Amino acid sequence: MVPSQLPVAPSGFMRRWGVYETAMVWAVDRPELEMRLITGWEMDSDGLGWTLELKQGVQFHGGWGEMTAEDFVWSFEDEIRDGSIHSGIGLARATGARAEAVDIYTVSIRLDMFNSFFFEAFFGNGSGASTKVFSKKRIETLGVDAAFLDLSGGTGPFVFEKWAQGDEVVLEAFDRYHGTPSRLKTVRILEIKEPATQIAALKSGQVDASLVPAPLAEDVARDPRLGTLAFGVPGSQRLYPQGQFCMETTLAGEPVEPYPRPGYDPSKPWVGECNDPVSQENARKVRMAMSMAIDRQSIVDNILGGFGRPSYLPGVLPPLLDTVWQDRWFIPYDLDAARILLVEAGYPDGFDALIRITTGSHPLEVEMGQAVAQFLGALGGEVRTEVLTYSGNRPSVVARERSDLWFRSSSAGTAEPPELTQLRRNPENAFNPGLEVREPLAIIRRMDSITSRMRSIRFASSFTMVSVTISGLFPWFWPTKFWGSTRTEFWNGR
Amino acid sequence: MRFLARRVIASIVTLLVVTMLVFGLSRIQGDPRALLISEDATQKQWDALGQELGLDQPVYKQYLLYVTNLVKGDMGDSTLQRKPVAEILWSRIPNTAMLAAAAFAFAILIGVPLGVLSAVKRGGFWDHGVRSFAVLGQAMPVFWVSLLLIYIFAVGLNWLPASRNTGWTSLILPAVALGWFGASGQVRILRSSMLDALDSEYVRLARGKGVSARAVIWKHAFRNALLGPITFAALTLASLITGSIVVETVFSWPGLGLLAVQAVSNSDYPILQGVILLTTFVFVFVNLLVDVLYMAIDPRIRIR
Amino acid sequence: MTTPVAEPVLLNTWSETARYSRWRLRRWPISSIVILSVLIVSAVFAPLIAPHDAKLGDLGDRHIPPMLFGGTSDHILGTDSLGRDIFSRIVHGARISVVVTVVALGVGGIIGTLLGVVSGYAGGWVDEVIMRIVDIKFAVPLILIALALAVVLGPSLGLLLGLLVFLVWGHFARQVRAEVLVIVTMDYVAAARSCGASPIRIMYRHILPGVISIVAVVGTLQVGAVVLAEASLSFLGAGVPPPTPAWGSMVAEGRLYIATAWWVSLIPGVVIGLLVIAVTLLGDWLRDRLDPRLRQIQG
Repeated sequence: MVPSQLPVAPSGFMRRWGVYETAMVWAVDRPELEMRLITGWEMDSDGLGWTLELKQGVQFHGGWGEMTAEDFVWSFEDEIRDGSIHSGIGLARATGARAEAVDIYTVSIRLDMFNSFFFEAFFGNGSGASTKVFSKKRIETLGVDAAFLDLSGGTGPFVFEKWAQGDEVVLEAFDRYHGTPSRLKTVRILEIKEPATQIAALKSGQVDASLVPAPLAEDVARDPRLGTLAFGVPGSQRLYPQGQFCMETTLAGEPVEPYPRPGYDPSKPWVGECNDPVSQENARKVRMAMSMAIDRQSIVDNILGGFGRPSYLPGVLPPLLDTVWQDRWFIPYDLDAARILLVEAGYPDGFDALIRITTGSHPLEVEMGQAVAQFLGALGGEVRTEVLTYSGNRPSVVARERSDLWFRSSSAGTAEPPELTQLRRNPENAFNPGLEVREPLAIIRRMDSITSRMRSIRFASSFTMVSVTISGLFPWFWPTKFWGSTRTEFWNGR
Repeated sequence: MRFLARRVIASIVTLLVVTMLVFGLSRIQGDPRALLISEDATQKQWDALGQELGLDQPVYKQYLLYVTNLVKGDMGDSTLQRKPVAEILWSRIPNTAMLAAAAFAFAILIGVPLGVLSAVKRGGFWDHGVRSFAVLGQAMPVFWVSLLLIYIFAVGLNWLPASRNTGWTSLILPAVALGWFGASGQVRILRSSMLDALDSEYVRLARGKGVSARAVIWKHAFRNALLGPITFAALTLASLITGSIVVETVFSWPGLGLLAVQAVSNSDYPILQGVILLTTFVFVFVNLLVDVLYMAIDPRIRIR
Repeated sequence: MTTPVAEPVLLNTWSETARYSRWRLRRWPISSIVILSVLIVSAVFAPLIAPHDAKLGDLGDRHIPPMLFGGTSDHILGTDSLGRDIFSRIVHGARISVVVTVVALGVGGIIGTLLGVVSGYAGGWVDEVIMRIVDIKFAVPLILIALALAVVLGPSLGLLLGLLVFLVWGHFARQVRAEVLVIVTMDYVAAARSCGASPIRIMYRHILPGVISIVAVVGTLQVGAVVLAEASLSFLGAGVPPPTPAWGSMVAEGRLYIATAWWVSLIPGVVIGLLVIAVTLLGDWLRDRLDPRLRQIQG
């Protein structure tokens, strides 16, 4: 594997199989980042630089030696180079990020422009930009092509033994792991696409644990043979109304002319013409009406089974920054007020629209998107949906994603397209009927087969695309923390 | 013989046309380079890759290159796995073949005896029962049958595994789901063929001569009735191919059908092309075989 | 099965009359006709019959079971994952099913019949070419092409119709051609030819009427195939895009919850099955009535 070419699933559905690691990881049961490959970090007073202290004695899989600052810098630069399929490129370019190895265990990061999400996006494990650390020597020795097919080179508690595309992934415990080694010696991840089939496999004992949509978990866990354990990373589902940006400068302040705004189409109700203040105001009203028409709490309660909370911001606000929440960002669910706004904006009968839902084959994403479409449809027009499976790098599909309305998941603090970053400054201008979703998947396990003496485990998953950040598999099976009991603490009393 | 030669040529023409179709399909979806390198690549990289893939050539030349490679057995490389398509297909064929064979066996083993039974006991309880079963079987969507089977046998009764390839027991449910449709069809076809044959002058004559009922059924009626089912077997192949895609998805059976569905989601067009070509080839080949069998059973039969 | 001959039947007793009436009635596929009528009536009068909106539901009413299984009389067949009334969706879904089926069969039937007639009548290289095209059509795995196109072009009603038309025209072409080959040997055709009638006139006046019966049979038998194909395509994501209710999509959408809210998938599946059964029985009956020779035709 090569870091920039590692297939990455949309972050609402990231796999964490503990093979490749990032500097920090989200804790399993609370909204905090824990240090993994670093022992300390410091931010400069101007916010434009960080210094990372790397952990010493971290060994790479496959005998490629110890991790040093050079490996870290190399991995970071690979993530953002030309040709990387990860989303970090945009954010890195926008902020002018660069890294340097100060000494053997110290890395220095510099930015030209402050970005509150940068650190967490690149050095946490929740986003598509996360820097997974690979051995520089390995790539240089093997060459990029061979390195792509070679499965060694990570630092995590598990090593790839075998990967049969679409069939299964087999992991073996890494005996020289720098942290607490795993008790499990072998993990077999079997691909079973349908959640119904996964549950059937669980019940019949074909697998020991499986990842299923959280609402299903509660029903299924009533079976005394099964127990549940929930996942950790907050992510969000957002609706992007495309094409509404009238940017006159780039983020760095250079004038742009004419900016190729993806999807700019003033015929759409939510897009205003750039030089026409009345049109802009009408478009704003339409967007506000759309936001008010969506009952976020209902989606959280009914579809997610309570595994989430509403959010109202263009960018998701990670719980880390909960303290900066502002009341003016709250948008009430008020269908009547929304209709009034639409009348004022010139759409008394509502409007037709299309929502494109990109998904990593996660059924709940699709349901949420359809629920949003249903709410918007209550405004009077016909709102259709179209589901696009994870598009990766397909311009023809990406082009479609950039018109109409786009519903997709993102992890906390994801690296966004630069044009959207600007909007974060004024939440009322461009809304996002956000939903913060705490990874609406739960692990269900068989109570009888997973014991402390267990050495090997079979795990069912919807897909086995090799996409990894860290968080060892092992801690999740020791405590039997049922989701319900941690819910209230998690949200700090909200 | 001339007949056979014509059929072979027709088959080759069919295959050629399908290669054109498949080639066209991969071009509709846009520039293949977009799948291989990032949007932010420089113009130079873009052009270099274009040259490497032969995209700077006129379309017909690209097509000729494609076909020549095919004949050599080179179907290109998977864009996702970076391995030769042929290699990937080869590794998955046994799984689908196993499933299809089992489904076919199920269809024959269940369909034929039931069809004969229903014809022989015409009008009676068995006849109506079997015919109802057949009509039901052909009316239910394949994925619905699959899910139902999983829930009854794998979850409810816990008799059989629900998915994947873990030994011969895991073959049972998918094979039944896939073969169900074929079984019902066989029942109906065989029943009507048998009825025709049983009613025919030829058989009545044999009966009149005092040949035992059993002998009549198996030696005369059955043999003549076989033609319908053989045609149907060839037709079943089409439903097997289509059905296998759905069945493999629901049961997570690691065969060609599942590979194709994943290839579509991943935009892995070389794999998709490969699967389409392969299935077409199999279909054409089987049809040819059926024609030969026809000739062997009843030399009077000629072209459809 | 022998075709009933129109000879006088002696009915001396009531019991004989009763038996005869039952026998005659059994000749008609009553259940098929009833089911189909219900479906067509639902399709035509959907807005009047459906108690709720088929496209908009209330999330708070999610997954209410059918009335007989613990639900309310407000939603006799329960609600789906977005709180929409299933009965209303099925009734409106009948519209989609009927329209899709009729259009696909209509267009496919016309194309297939015309090609079959031309192919059978003209013979020679025209016949060869057309039949080769039909062979190719049968050889290609439609479902894979459908998936690929759905991803590239995006799923839509137009795409679905196109795919379904492509699915059926070949059956029509083949069967019609076979029939035409027989008709062409008939005396009246030879007579017309010798009178100097133009081929088009002959095809229109003499051949076309002769194939109507077989077209009807193939048509009815293909309805099942079309309905099942639409269901499968929806299952794989290439069908009618939501929120439009179509039975196939409804089964696909409900499959996540089959363990808990089984009615979301099960009920549309049963309806699909009923339609296919009804139409298949009707097709069998038609075939038996029109010409026992046609028994070799399967849908």
